[in-house]
Amino acid sequence: MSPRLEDLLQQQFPRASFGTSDDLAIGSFPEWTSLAHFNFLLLIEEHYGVRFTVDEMSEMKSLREIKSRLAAAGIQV
Amino acid sequence: MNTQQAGEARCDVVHSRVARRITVAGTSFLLPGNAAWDRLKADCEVIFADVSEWSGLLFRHEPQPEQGDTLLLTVFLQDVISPDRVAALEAKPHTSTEQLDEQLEPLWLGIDHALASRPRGSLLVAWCNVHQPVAIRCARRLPVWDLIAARWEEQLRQRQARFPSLLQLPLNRFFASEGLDLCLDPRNYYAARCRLSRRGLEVLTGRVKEIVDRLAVPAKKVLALDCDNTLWGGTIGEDGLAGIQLGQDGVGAVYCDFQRAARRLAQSGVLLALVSKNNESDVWNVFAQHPSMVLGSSDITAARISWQDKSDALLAIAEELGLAMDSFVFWDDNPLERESVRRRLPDVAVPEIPSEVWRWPGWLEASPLFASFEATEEDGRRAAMYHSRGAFQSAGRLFDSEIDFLKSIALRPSVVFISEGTISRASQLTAKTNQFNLRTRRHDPAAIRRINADPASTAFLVHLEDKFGDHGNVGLVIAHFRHDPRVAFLDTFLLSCRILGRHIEAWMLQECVTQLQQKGAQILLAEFIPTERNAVASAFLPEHGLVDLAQCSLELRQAVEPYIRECTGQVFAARLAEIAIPHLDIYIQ
Repeated sequence: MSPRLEDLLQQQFPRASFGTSDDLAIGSFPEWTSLAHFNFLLLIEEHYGVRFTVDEMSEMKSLREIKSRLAAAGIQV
Repeated sequence: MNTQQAGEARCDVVHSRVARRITVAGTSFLLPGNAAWDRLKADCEVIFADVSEWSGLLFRHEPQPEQGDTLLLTVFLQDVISPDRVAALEAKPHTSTEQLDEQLEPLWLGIDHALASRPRGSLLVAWCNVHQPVAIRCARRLPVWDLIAARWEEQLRQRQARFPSLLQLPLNRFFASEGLDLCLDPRNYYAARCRLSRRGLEVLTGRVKEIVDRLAVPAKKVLALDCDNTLWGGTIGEDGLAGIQLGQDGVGAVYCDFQRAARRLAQSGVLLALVSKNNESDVWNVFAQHPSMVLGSSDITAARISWQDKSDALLAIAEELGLAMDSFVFWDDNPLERESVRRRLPDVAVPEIPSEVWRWPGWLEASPLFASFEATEEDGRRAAMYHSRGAFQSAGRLFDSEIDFLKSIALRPSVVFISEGTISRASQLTAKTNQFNLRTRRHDPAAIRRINADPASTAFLVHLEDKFGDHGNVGLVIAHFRHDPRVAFLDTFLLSCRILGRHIEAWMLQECVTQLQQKGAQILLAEFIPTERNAVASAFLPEHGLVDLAQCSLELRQAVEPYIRECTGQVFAARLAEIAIPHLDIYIQ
């Protein structure tokens, strides 16, 4: 069973605390920098077996946008 | 499990005991915060330099690194050499060495400066040539990028001969076993200026961890092998000599190659031991009678072949060899035996071996468990030395008086002053000796070289020969009188565990006293720092004329005061003239 996107977010930011909202995005908490976001996207690629383009990586900023992109690839998270 | 995955499993059994710091710099971005770095962060402080800083970092003077610190410089040749210039060279029929050196020149400026200005710590250069070759272009001439990479590596090796603190990690070789395409990711390069994929980062951090772990923790010394279904296929007790699988064909050939791999380890100084549940005579009969056996009984330094528990067998072998359990690797095909040893003897490395037996020879040869940065003369002779240790112990039982016994074995210790040829051995002794070691201070080769050149220091190795053999350089003494020429501080005093029981430590102390007196010192200050492993040395100082500092005269305490700041353990002192070593007549001078 695929992990929830929020679980991967917690894995990427083990010390951060955040609620559950698709509005969560880069900058929602101090640790979520653009570099950390890049590492988060690599983690998502690894777990769901997807591959993002350079443009997608710069455009997807929030959990909602990431979920939307994953849904387009047939992955519900 | 492929070789690289096996490598990761192997990493798990190498533990660090030393706090270390790694500063990471790269010509490309290396994604700090990526989970691939976590394995290094587990027991190191990892500091990332900004990607634009990599060159400036090599020229930076402050802060000076501590011993044990590592600067990891990750170089992608295509980041520092213009592809346009290389294309111009490619268009010419011939490329000269001078033209290659011209491309590399800017890199050496920083590296040479860092090597000259960092007396402590290591510089680890991980490097990669990301050029993708074209078969047709390679068919008649070597691509210029490959010529540049070869010249770069050659010059790195030349510098390594001068600077032992320089280490290199040629990443292409390790990426090759994973697939270069899987380790490099041009998408990441254009998205974040990182040339590596997540997998590539994992290969980089995994191999770096192997290297920095070895800087802190010595290689394993003993490979303890099961016999049935390990050295041969089948069970000797049931299948008999003619029924076991061992020979030129099929799986029998794999077991021969596994034995060859074990024998090559033995030739490099690893001790082989047998730990087998069997009738002892059955096993030795295979060694003596089977025509395809590669290992001979003389390759085996210790054996426990019986029906006893294998953890008990390993403990008995450790006692016989005078080695701690963390010197051992236990290899058994049976997962239950492996798990049992893991639980009872957590210090023993018990690798999760490949399930396919044909991967065993390659796995053993590629294992970092036994790998050292360099071999010393002593390594190749270690098995013979431990054989003589067994003979020494057996002979000792024949004598009632220990002194009479020691007089009978013609102990011939001698001082060996440290030179270029013995710096590695001196450093290795500080890294590997845990039992008879008063302060357990580790000194890398650069530190030994520095100490040896310091006029306010005295440093020498101790060589030992006796009727059981030439034991090589087995002891090390380092003393300095940096604060006061009249007071010498014993920085290092250690003796290899395999020759303990000969009272060589007493001779070493006498020799130390003589050397220090020749240099004008009058007082010796020594420290014992207790560890989990050095209890054997705890009584040495008070038993040889040194007095607990609290019991010393006020005058003596005042004289040693400048040195006390360096001390964290039990401190002892004595006037050199008052140190009296008994039984010096047991040695042949």
